[in-house]
Amino acid sequence: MVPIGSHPAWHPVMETLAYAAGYAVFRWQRGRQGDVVDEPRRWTVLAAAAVGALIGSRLLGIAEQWPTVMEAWRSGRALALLFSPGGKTIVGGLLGGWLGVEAVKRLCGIQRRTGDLFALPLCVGIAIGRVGCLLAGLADDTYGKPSTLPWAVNLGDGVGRHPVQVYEILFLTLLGILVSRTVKLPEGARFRIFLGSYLGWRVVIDFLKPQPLIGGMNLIQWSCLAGLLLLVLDEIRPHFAGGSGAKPGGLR
Amino acid sequence: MTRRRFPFLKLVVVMAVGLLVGVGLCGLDFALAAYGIGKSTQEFGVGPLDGVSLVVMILFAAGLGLSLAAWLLAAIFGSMGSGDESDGQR
Repeated sequence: MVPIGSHPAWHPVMETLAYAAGYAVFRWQRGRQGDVVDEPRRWTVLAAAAVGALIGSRLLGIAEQWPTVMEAWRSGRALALLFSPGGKTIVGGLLGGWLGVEAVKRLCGIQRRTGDLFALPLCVGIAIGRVGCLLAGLADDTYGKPSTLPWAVNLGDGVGRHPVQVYEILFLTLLGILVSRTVKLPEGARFRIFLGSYLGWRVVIDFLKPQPLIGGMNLIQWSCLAGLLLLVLDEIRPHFAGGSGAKPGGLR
Repeated sequence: MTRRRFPFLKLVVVMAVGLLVGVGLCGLDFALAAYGIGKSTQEFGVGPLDGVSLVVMILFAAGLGLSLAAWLLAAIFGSMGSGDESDGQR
């Protein structure tokens, strides 16, 4: 059993580092391979992604703690819950950011697919953030189920657990290599590969997390399935929209 | 000649990310709670530790709201002011 302990103060440190590293990778990539939209439009997309991610992450984070939410609601402290720290999710952030960008692109008439430049930065950012989750240990709701495997981690309670955060970092490393390969892909494909793969991964890996279940899966897994369904529908919709003149992908 | 605009959208991004980090300051809460400072993790009451995270969250939330409103106003008045700036910040 690998001793890790619980060091929750590292979580915000690593999270801040994750955002900074993600932005640095984004800048590096944009400088190296250029952009499909101009600077003002890119910042419009970035702002929509940031605000959408904030809302989505918080909403799903609060919904995920539904027993606590119900208790707070019954005792008339729902507002306090909104401002209480904690309770945010990567999946909510990704889905919220994606939908936020799509909405703003429609409003502003941006036709190009703008997500490819986000794929590698998201891999890097999430991987670094997961180091913070691992170090936070039991204080963070992302630890794994008990395990007797030789690489199980002890988060301070003497119980060996699956290092699900390490599994995710390894997965993101592979995914990052895949989406940063220089092969020619259609515009938007890298982001879709990233998003589809990550959502699929979370459906699988969350079975190793001890979280409240609804119909056999936790709320994040259900959200991942909804996101995957949306991705598939968005991908096949142009084929049923009629005619070859239809633009590929409404949601970009 | 292009007119240089205040980068409201960059401010929106910074405020949104700051608020995201602020929402996650529970780490600090738990760390200090281990030493008997702040709240129990099962409660919603405001303790000394919550003060720090609440101030960060509220400041960034206010900053986000204000920068979004300022950007919207700038976009509205900018588009009213001249018709040839369709590629400006939206």
